[in-house]
Amino acid sequence: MDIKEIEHLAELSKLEFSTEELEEFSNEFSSLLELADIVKNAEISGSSFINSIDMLNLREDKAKDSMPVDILLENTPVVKKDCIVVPRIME
Amino acid sequence: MSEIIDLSAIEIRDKILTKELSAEQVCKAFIEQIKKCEKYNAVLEVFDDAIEKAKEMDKKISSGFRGKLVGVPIIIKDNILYKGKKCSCSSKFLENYIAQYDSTVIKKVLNAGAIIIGRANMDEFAMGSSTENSAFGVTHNPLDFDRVPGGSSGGSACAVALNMCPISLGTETGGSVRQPASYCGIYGLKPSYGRISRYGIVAFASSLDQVGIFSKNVLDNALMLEVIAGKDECDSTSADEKVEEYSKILDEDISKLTIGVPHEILEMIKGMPCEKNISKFLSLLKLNGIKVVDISIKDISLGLATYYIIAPAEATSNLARFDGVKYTTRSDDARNLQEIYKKSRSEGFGREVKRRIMLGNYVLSSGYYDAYYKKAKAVQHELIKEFEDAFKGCDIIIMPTTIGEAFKIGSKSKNPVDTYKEDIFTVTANIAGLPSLSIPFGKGDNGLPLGIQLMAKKFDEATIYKFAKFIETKIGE
Repeated sequence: MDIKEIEHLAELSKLEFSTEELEEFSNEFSSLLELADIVKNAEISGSSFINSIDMLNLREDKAKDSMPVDILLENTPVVKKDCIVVPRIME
Repeated sequence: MSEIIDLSAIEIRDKILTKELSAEQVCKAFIEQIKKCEKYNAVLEVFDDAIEKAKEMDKKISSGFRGKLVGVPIIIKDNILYKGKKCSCSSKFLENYIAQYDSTVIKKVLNAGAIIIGRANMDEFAMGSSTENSAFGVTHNPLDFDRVPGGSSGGSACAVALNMCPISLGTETGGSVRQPASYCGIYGLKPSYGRISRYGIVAFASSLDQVGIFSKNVLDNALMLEVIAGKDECDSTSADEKVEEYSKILDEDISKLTIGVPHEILEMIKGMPCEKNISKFLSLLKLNGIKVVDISIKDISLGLATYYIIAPAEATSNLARFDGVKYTTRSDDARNLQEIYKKSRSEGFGREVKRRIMLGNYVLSSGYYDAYYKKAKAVQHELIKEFEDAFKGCDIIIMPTTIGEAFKIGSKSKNPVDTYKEDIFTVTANIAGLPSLSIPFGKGDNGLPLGIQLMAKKFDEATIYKFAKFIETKIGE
């Protein structure tokens, strides 16, 4: 896999890599894809797949109290007046 | 009387109930053992209120409290939420994360009277087969310091093997309880998908994840399952299936059971270190009058590749929540929203986690989704059907847990696929949602333990435990 494709994947993954790391990933990916290609090239009799939604066992749709906001925000890195602070996204 | 730390969970419980021992005395003995075994790096934190909780338990017992795990010290994997305690998933990203609520399994063990004494090291976000991928250092094999304990629940396995607790909890996505159980010479159960609630377990691949149990004997394992199994309204994938009192049925007759061995597995293990061990095991079964039959799981060799498509695909979605906004870590260098995402994740995640996120995005991305992810889900469907068919002719399916003994630390770090191959025999139970117990049986050329997996129909953990008990008492080494 070439560096450009790896860079695209890094962008999709919201990850940053140094040039060296990108090269390492590029080399590693060939062996990872060799493994994944076993499935791609496999001949199997069926093509249907399991719909996980069928397996769900949902509780009754009733409103319940949720966790208090101050507790929910205990692990949040930057908080001001019960709100999460982020840099502005509009120029 | 044998030393406290040598006792089984049930012996501990019974001695506490008869006041032969106090919960406090037991708790202190195990914490002392954790300190003695510090160099193995199995336990990341001993909870500072454990002894206090044990004292409270002694008072409760005096007032008449009874429970299946009264006073039994438990260690939990570092991805299971216990209110007020750190839960870091052995990741720098969550180094300071404090659980705000109890997971369902924690609620259940506490209600049964257990004392949770610490949290165990693991591969970061449960991604790995050696516990070398922890941000807090490698855990060592309890029987050979230069080798890995297996993973990803390596800390939990090492803790039980070295008597730091009689039972511990881990989690499984592709073998993360059974493989370390095999490498550490103990029992490790991966229950049926849906058997135990996943509420409060940090998600890796949600359609494959399950909580698992480590123990030194079958009875303790069975007891823990009956405590933590069951439908939970907080997890819509938990199943409304009957939970038996597994610990009370272990001595039931198993002579009518039929054991199946997939001939594809016998073909695969030719020349592998586990080959002789499987042959020996099967011979002993036959000698003991157990019926062993040949079965076929045609596509079993596709299991590993299927797993390494489905699991990273789900992981990439689950780990998107770690964005530098909500959970503990935000890069100091980030100046805008995109940088918050990228820098926080790049600084917080380790190498293997990044690798799997990248792989997951690849198999889900436009142009590759049908060829990889959709095809893998179709293979999964086939494998489920093949197992269903195979169980029409047998009650238990047998496979090796691992290729051989625990490998040396650092020996497989160059090529990630070498480590992925560790999961070759374990992943199919996760893909098919089946229960599987790794039992210790036999030794390899270096005298280290090997394991054998017993698999059964979905939700038939009872048959596995009964058969495991038979092996433990009649055949085990």
